[in-house]
Amino acid sequence: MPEPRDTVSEFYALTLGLDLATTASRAAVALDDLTLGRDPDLAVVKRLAEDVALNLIEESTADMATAVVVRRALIETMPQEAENTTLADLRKNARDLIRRLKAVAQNGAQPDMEELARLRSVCVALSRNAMGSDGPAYERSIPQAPQ
Amino acid sequence: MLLLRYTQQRLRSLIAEVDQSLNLEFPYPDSEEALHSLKGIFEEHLHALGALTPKNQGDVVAQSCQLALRAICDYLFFVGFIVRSTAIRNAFEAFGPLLRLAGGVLEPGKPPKEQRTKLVLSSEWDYSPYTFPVVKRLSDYIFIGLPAPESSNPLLLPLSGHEIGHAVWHRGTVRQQCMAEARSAVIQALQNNLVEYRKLFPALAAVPDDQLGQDFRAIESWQPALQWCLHQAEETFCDFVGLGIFGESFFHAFAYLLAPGYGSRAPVYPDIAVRVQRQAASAAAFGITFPPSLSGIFKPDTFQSGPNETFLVKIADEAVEMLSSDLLARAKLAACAAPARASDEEIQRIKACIGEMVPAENCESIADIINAAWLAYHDEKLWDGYGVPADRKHDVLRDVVLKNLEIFEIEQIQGAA
Repeated sequence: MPEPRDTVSEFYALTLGLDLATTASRAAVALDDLTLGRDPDLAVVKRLAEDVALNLIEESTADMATAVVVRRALIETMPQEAENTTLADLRKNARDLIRRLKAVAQNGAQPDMEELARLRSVCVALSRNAMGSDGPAYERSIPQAPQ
Repeated sequence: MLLLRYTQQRLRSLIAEVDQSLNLEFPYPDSEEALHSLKGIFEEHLHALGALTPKNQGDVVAQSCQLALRAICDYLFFVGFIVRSTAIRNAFEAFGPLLRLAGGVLEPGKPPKEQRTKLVLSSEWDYSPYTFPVVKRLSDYIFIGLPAPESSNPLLLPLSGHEIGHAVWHRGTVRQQCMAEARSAVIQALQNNLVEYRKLFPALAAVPDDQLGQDFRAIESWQPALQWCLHQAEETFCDFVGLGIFGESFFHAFAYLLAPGYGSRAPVYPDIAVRVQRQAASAAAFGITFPPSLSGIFKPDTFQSGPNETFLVKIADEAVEMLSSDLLARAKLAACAAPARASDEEIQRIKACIGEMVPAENCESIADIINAAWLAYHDEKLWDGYGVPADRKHDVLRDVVLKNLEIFEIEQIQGAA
């Protein structure tokens, strides 16, 4: 199992190294718990921000599949995003998303419940779209599969 | 909260099933440990769901339940796979040498006792042999499954070299290196076929030619070609790794299993005839020869689909061709970590022992044993005078080779002690 990149509770140590769909879903749960006045572990929110940064912002590790997923999730939650069509635009908006996620991860409960709800919606959309584009958890490698 | 209740109960049922399976007798620890890891995945989902209450947002709960259901769908198969790995039809003799080989290639320089690589060998009632080079959350494991009738056939072991290649691709830096290169190659292939692209995607007329790689309207049109290119590149890389580790026996194993091809093609794989041509062209780089007997044995696949998909497959194919020489170079580097293949003289020595139905001692690698086995397989005079009926030679050869693998493993263990 991949090593956790941060010091976190034992439970979340198990969840680190998960795919984007699962990380985004866990982040949505954490944000939802914040809106309910609970005190969740926010490491997964920070992890989601880092994963998006790694797979979208950094040129050397950028993944087009992640780019498409993030764009679709942003359009779903902010329809005006459909007007932005370039990779540069997406990276700019993704940087903003990363900043907002990290701010929550660092500061915890926010007075702005609407912001938490917005981020929660983006996380759910990210998870749903990532599931849609993800293959199964395993890749069955058949030397040459029939059609 | 009915959805949550159903999802939690499904997980509990599955965990109970895994607990039952843990009572089986496992021939080696890796299978049992994999089962424990799977149990951990299901328990983790159950734990996550347990933290949800009726006050949580409906879409947040639904998404968590969907992920849990996906985990069940994805990993249930592996519970069965691991259970079947305990069956005696599997070639347990191959486990030790293969694990040693995989660990050496994936974790070069690390002593075997410190290696994390784990292996599960199993069988399926499905002709297509397969492996699972990457199983999310079980990334230290390599799962290799063979069709039940071939599950104890050691002559197919070279295909595990291909599967080790998949683990190299995903665990190291090869995939990351190829992603950017694949994207550039796909865009280049599009530029080389612009007229056809514009004809097939008229809705993208507003996107300038030099923005095809940056504008999402265009990116979404060629994204499938990129994914196919990456998959094909991975398969090509793995073929090269298999050749690098096992030498000529890889050609034979590949042909035994797949010739002349299925006739139809999935875009995630290269056309089989092209694939074999690439293997053949790379032979010199590995100091081996493509067996003349296999020339022309594979027939091209057909691919039938709509014009847009057919075009994107063509783009993927052209892009992979551009990447081929770099893939070969990287595969050679990866295969270097495997034991060097022996001289022809040594292979002949092992073959001579097979010819006397005794295992050869002091072999250096399983690749040498399997290369000798394939020479024996193709020797029409094998066991002349030994009274072995022609239709039994394959079974006897299998048994002799498996015994040789057993001796080899014992020698390795004694040597390490």
